Amino acid sequence: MCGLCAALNAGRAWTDTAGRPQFSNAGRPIRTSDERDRLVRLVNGVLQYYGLTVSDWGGSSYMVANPAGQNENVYALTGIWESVDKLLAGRKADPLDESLIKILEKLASPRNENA
Amino acid sequence: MRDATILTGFLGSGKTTLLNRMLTQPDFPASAVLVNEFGEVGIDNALLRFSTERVAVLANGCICCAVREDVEEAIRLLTEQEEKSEIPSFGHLFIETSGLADPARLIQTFSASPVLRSRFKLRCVAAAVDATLGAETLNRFDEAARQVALADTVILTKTDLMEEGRSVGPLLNQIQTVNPGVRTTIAHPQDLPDTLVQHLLGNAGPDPRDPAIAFMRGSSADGRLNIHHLLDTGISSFCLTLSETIDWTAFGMWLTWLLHRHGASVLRVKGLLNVAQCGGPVAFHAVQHMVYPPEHLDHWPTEDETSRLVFIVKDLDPALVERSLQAFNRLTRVEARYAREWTRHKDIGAGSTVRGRPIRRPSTPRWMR
Repeated sequence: MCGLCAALNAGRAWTDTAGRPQFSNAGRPIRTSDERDRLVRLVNGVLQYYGLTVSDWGGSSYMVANPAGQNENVYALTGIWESVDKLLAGRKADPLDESLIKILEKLASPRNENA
Repeated sequence: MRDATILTGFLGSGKTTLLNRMLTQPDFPASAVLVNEFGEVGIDNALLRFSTERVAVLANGCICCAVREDVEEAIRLLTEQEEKSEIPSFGHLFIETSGLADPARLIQTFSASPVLRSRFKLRCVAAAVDATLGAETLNRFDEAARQVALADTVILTKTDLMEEGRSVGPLLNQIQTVNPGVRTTIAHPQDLPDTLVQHLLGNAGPDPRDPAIAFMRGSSADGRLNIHHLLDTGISSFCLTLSETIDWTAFGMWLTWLLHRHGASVLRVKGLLNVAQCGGPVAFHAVQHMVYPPEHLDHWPTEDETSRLVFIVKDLDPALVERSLQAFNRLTRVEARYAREWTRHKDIGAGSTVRGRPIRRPSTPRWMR
């Protein structure tokens, strides 16, 4: 628990790599802060399609925000997707949305990759 | 920590008869049996409890995450009575579901309930399939197909009632179509195979959840996008092969979102992954919203070291699932290029607002992180 804001930490999730000796980053152990930074980057890469942003909130939770300034504070990755649904106000964010997939494919296309 | 087994199967598939035969085997461990409905065949020499289906929906409101409150309560009562020596102690717990029950809820209950999670380990989900009517039932009834899709072991019953000259081969193929790589056994009318009993007790050699073993047996995991459909149920299974290494963070992000949005449609995901952040293969297994802790293996079961993921889904387009997974995984290639753009919101600091209230400083001083 955070002593300053009394926020509880989320438990370990199956997606976590930091602190697990089986996972490494080029031979080095993965630090929690690095893992969270990467997650925030990747989630932002996807959520920009919906105009939402995610940020790390003090290393213990995530803040999901929409352009209107509404925020949701969540503890874990699964909570991010619940917040996304709330902040989109009725619109359903879907990883199988064909237009989202097309945009991600374009983003990661070899031409873009080498640019 | 005691072991538990869920025995499921469609109406009239012979679950109770099978359980009765097993419990009357000599040297069978003392067991408690929780029956979802009153069966017609009495079970002797075992502790019996009955429960009527009562479902509690979890806080997030997702219906497929509902836990079986009745089962949780019945098991809690059993253990309390055992502690007070009101009933004999038992080493194994069997839960026999009703013919139309969805075992996913029971599996979820074992994961979500603190009482069950701390006292019982779910070792096996077994589905009984009637050898005479099983093929038609699997094609026509969604419930039957779901039960097989969620099982670790499928037991063919009533093989003695089959017509002369008919073989169980086509039915076994159909079962493999629904759940590629699932263990199948025949419960002969005269004697129960010892291996079957050991599997149900969770004592058999390899863990039935071990996809490495399952893949070696599985006929459909041969490196192509094989899609198998069941006629009327909308359930299909397919195997994805990914030649690129999988980024665990991207995979976690994708799957948690997929399960959040389509959890009720994704009956099962299992596979062996070549993960960029790991040396050896990672065995992966999920049932609807419940993801089991990934298992790190020492070696690949075959020479082929490509990632293989088997999906058992209902009304989902396999091609879209594959494209989506690949698109998310490839996002990591351009991650460095967009790093600044995608992390500019890293700290919500002074000047921004949370729930309309201004932030005067970051929540945690940087020196404390």
